[in-house]
Amino acid sequence: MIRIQIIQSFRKLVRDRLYTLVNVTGLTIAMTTAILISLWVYDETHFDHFHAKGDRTYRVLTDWQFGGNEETMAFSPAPLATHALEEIPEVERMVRIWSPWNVVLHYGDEKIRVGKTLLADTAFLRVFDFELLNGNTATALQDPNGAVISEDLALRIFGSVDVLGQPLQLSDKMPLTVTGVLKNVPSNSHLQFELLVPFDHNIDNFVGEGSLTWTAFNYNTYVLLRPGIAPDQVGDKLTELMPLEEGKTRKTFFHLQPLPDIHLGSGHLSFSDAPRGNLSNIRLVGLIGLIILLIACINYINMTTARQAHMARDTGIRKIIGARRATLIRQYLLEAFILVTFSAVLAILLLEICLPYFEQLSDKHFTPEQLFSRTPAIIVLGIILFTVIIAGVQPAFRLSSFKPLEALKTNHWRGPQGAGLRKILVVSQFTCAAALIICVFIILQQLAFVKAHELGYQKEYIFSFNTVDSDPKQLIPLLEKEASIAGVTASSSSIIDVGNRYAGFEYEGKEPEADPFLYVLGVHPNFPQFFGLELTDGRWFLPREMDTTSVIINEKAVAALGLEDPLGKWIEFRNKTTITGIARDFHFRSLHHPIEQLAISQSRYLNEVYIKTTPGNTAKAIAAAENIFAQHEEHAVFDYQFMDESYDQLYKSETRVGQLFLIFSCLAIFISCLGIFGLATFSAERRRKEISIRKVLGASFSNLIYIFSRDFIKLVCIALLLGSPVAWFAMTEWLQDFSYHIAISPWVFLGAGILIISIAFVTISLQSMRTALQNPARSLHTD
Amino acid sequence: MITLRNIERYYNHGLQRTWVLRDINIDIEEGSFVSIMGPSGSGKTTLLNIIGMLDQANKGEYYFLDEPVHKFNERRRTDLHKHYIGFIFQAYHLIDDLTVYENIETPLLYKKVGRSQRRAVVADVLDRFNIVAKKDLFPHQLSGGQQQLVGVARAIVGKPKLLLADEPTGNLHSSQGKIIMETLSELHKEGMTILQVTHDESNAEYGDRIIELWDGFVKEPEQLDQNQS
Repeated sequence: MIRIQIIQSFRKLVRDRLYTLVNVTGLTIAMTTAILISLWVYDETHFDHFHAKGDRTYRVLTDWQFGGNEETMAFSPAPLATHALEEIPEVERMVRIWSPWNVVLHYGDEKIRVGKTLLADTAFLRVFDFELLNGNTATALQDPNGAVISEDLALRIFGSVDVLGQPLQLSDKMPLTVTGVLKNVPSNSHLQFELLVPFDHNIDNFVGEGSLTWTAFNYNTYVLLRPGIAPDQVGDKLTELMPLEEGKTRKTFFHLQPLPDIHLGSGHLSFSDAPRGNLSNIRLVGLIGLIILLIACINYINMTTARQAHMARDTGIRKIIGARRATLIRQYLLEAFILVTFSAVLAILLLEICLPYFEQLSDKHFTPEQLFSRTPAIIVLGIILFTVIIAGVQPAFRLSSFKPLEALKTNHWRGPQGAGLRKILVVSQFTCAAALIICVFIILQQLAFVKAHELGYQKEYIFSFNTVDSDPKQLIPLLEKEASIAGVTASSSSIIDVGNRYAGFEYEGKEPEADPFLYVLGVHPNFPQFFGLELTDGRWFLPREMDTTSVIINEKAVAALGLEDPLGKWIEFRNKTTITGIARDFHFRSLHHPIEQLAISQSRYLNEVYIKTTPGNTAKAIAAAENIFAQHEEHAVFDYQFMDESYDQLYKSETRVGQLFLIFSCLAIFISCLGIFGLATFSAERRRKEISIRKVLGASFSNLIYIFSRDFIKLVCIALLLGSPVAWFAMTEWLQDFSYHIAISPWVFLGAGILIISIAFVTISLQSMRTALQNPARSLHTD
Repeated sequence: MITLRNIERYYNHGLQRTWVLRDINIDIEEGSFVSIMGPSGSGKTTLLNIIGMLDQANKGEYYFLDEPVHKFNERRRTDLHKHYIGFIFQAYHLIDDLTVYENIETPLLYKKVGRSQRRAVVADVLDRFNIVAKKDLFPHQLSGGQQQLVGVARAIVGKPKLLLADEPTGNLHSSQGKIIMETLSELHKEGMTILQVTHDESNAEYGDRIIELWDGFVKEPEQLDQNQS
């Protein structure tokens, strides 16, 4: 019977071409989206799951007090690991990790920039399961000069992975020998690196004296516990290891974070620069994937029940010649299954085309092993099953429920059967589509606002680069001589995103209880003039080489320090400085954050060089800078970035969300319109006689279009009314992430409304125009 | 075979009640060929549908092969009708998506007849009605007479005891109608019980008994006899 039912279903699908086309198109697009999103969600929620000992591996987190705030960070001091191994029996292995910046490898005369380098304890490859293509997991990091490199890096340097024993040089500091070649680190690992070097023998080359003491919280520490040990008690024991000065209360505590939680559970951590997952984003994107799939399911339900006049006859006959209801339900479900499976096959083909774009958009890479494994197969099967159930069950039960005698009466089906449910479903489709498009409008508006926002400094025609070994102070006079360069300055960190904070310092007029923190930016003397910063009071630095006694604070800092009359007061960071000026507040972090307290001082340690050019001279300026850089940096590679690009990088995640929403909302609208196109076609079919009569009676063309579109447009309007508050609510929440954001304007809703109604109207008109233009005599005759 | 006692069928329209059938008492012997006649709206089709278990009486008793159908639930009625009753319609009601062969085969599928047996039975029927050459065509490729022939073939393929025909020739030319009626007559001679609804006196003559309906009542047989004589 199944075989025959399959044949029959195929015939039906071929005969009702429009029905099949609308459904297959909608389902294919929706399923492609759903599969991609599922892959992404699965990947995001399964970070670091490939480590066999992952269930007893933890990262040490430190709770401490900073500038009066309780904070948690993923950094801990170096002695913790050594002491823990000796004194806590529950600990099986410990791994410390430290990651230097701007690492360049030398191979012969070649300089190769390395993506990310980790200095790690020898147990690293035993705790974590990063697969070696070449070399021995147990011994690769034993050799003090050993280096484990990734497949990619090996190919970049040597053009081969068979390179054990090859010599390399890390900057000018360390000679290395390749002791292992690593399979590229999977993208679903929170640890990303290309080069792995032993911690113990090399850390001294990178960090200064005192960096390996209990007070330097510079390292990520990972713990492998023995089986069956509860992490809480170990956390307490770790805390106890930390020496405590006589008479002081403990303010620093350690606790353990399970390895699989790191990717999604680190949003609250300070000083974390790694890309972090965001559970609410995952939920949101997952929800949207579901909505798009549901919109396509609704098309199926609506299209199937809309043609029930035809289906009813079929049901009636079959019941009279002996079909049970269960048989018919199975038949109709089978039809749904065939349609959905066919769409799924097309979806997989479409996936092939979309995947590269999706990978770019989501910043992920899916390896063939990942794609041709069990998980995607289960995802696809799950989506097929879900779709069949959601789309197929209601029509199957409804169509099979007809009483045979009524079903055979043709007039019985002239009326708008099941129109109530169809209307509700159409409204839900367009509610989602409307909400999404409104969100897109608001996100794009906010991004435009962010990009145009007055930051309080100039960022146009400025590019920057980092120095490694050379001192910017030596480079600046050389660069200034270049004709194409209009100005040069330098700072300790980027003005776009200042990250350094100080707390626990003394200053004049400090209340005994107060413990404020200040963001600190070290700069070259001409820095304020270069960026056009403004003073509200006092003066900038003295125009001499090193004015280390002056400090400029911003308006917020005056308030944070609680100073009435700040000019002339002293602050002691490393040395005693005097407040000589108050700078007007400017944005030194992204607009997600309010402007906070900042101190600007002159510093010896500058590594960010800014170069201002003029229009038409940028290429020359870059070439000149590169030339001078090359003369002074033996071990680094020149890498520059324009400031407006770096600034846009701060909103990378939002830009991505905006792009995703744009795509999703277009899909939602497209699939919804496919649905009403199908319904309009059926409705045109059903009302052909009515329209012909109206035409004979003298209705004009536009009159007919109006009569025909009226009902659908009404539904779309209701959907807009329902979707608007949802979008408003969601976007109000979203905008809270920004300290500086737009006010949601009613024009957004109006604009989105006009857009959606126009699209819906055009869609329906395509069909109604055809009907309205038909010769009335023909349709009246055939009826 | 069929015993109807005090059958009533009515519809309620608000407070008003419209009777379609009233006080119907009929006995039909196995092997008879009965024609139900009467003007439009006299309740012929409703009576046929009640006998065919597609519709239910509001009152009265209906025994089919001595089984009390009026007491059965839907499922048992469906079973009964599936196994013992075949239907022919004025509008043929073939399934558009199925070929002639498949249309005839479908009732057997629903009776869960095995594949090889199905093939044999359908081949027999095709042969008997001379439509072997048409077996792979779809209904819309056939003339009305041919479609109805398929309709008859489909109705009898499951070897029902009772064949119900609702104006089987109503949509056909007289020559085509004649072929159908002769086919029915032949089936009757082979022992099939047939009940047909018809307007047409000449069609009624193929049968051995006429039940005439008038506004929902059965016209008295005496009257009928008088008319005939």
